Amino acid sequence: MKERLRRTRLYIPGNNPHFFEGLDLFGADQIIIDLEDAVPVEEKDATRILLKYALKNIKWNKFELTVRINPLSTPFGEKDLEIVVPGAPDGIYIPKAEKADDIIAVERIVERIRKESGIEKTIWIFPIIETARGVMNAYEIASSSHLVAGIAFGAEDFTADIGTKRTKEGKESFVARSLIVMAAKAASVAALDTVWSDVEDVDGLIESTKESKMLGFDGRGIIHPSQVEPVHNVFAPTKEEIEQALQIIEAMEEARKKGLGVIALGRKMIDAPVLARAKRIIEIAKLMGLI
Amino acid sequence: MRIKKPAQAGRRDTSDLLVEVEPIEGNGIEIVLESSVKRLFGERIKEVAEGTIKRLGYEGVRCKIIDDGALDYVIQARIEAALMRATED
Repeated sequence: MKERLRRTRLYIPGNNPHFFEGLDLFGADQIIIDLEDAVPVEEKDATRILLKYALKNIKWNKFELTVRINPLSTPFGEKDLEIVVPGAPDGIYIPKAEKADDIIAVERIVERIRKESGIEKTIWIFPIIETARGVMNAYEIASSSHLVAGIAFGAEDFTADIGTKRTKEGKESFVARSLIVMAAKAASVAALDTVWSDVEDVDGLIESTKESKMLGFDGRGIIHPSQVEPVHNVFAPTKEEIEQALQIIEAMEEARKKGLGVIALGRKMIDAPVLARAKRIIEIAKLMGLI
Repeated sequence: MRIKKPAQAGRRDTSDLLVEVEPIEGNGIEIVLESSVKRLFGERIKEVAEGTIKRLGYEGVRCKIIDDGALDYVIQARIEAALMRATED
């Protein structure tokens, strides 16, 4: 599905089969099996083969399964796709996406292999934006292909690229993250924030995730299963938000029956965008089993 | 198909295994196994290993496996990776 809950994407190193066994237990919305940064160059070949067998033999079904390939500009990217696509994951993450052509190149290869392998399911594409150039081209990237289901931000590489360092407050990436949210929303795809790398700092994770939600992100990256619950809690609509959303939807239904486009609920004007937000809250609440 | 040189793949780690392959004279396949679960699963591991080598079309191979409870698909993957590395120039 192009639209679904993507509150957490949990990175799993591709070369360690021990991690594969418990993936269904972690509760993350999305798993990214990483062939890029988590795998040393001399292990890329064996990791690719391990993943080929894992995709064929393990039936995971409690999360959206994705794979982060190496960039096509390296000797590994296309080989990764040759192995990964026949295994029919739900999605492919493309690191260091900087322009629409980076995505179109991956789309062509994915679609060719998908057809050759007789795979009918759609394999979604998730570009990761982690350079200044990528941020400036975020909308072009997000709207480059109908297969793009979300764009993610990578803060570590981004801060290195602009010549600063990453802080817990994240002021250095505030503009970049906002631009990525704007681009994602304009292209009607998910906006996915960067990872929180300090597993011990749960309070920091919660505060940072509150900011992600406030900026408009739909989810964020994590590197440990213990980070799933705090992030899901932040993204959960509150009881008050759900109640208000239900009132808004009900009031709008009444107004429609009377032929009105805009109404007031209490002291607040209710119009189409307010209704859309209320519907989104109810949709998320239903997906999370809150109502 | 024959391998050209010794090579290895995998790790001595939980759920993983270290596979070392080397060329031998003749067309046989020799499996040497060290495993924490050898008593229970030794024959099964050897069967999977030999089956994988044959399925991939190799002969004249000695394959040493140091296993710590890897599942069948991991055994197959590590053997394929070791053979591929042993075949490369």
